[in-house]
Amino acid sequence: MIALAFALASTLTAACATVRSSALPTSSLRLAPYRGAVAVSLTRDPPGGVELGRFEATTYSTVDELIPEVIERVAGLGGDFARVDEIGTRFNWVTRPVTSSYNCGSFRYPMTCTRTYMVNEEVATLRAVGRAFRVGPR
Amino acid sequence: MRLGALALAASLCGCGTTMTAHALTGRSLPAHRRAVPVFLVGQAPPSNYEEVAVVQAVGRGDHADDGHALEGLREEAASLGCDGVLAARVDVGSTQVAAVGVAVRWVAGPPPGAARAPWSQPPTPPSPTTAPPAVGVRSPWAATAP
Repeated sequence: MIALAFALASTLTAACATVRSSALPTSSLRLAPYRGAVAVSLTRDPPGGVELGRFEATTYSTVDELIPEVIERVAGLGGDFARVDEIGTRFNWVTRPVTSSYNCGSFRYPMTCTRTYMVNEEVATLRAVGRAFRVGPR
Repeated sequence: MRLGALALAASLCGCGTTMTAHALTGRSLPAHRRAVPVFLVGQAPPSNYEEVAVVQAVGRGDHADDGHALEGLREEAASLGCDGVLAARVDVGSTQVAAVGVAVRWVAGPPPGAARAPWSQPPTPPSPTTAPPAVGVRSPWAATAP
């Protein structure tokens, strides 16, 4: 029962998540997830660091949600340094249905009706790709 | 005359917004009003700096242009006490323009050429309510004056 509730909660969380990410180990070195603070740089490789893997993260939200996701991915690879190689925004047009309700009855017989119509929106996706490094002792 | 009134009304209406956000990667300092140069991607960055935050700005409506987006980056960097923005990138959509960059602090004085960098106009005074948050605290969107 607890497992079922956990699975349901995970599914709901995933469905509502605005940040998506993935990570891929590229080194034969396998480390346990790192528990300390992960440094982040967008301009410099770490001196003397060992590259552990690569990551990608995208969000419909803002950079303050993207970077914590990057940190989580890097820590999951055992890294303590996230080197973001590229970060930028892509724009896409999407069509989505919008449902609204309105009063459609009479004074004596009030009713509420709903209508659905399509709207076009330009959606911005912020994306970061980079590499995970381990700089400190292993 | 009528056209001028319409233009004035349109400008007063403020049909544009610039939203800014940041994610701290270093230690921020109190906001300042100094000029904040912005170095675009591909421009040789100075070497003596320390990264403080990833900054982002999105201009919509009348603000959907490079100038407002880069101004948003500059204001966000200044609100964090930063001296410059490096590796700034501007992406242009149909209805909005987004910019992202790295807010930095000079470690040993401003680098040569910083004063000549593009987009190096002084920032507008930051709002007194935009005190920099503590390290690690996420910030919500902060809309600048429309």
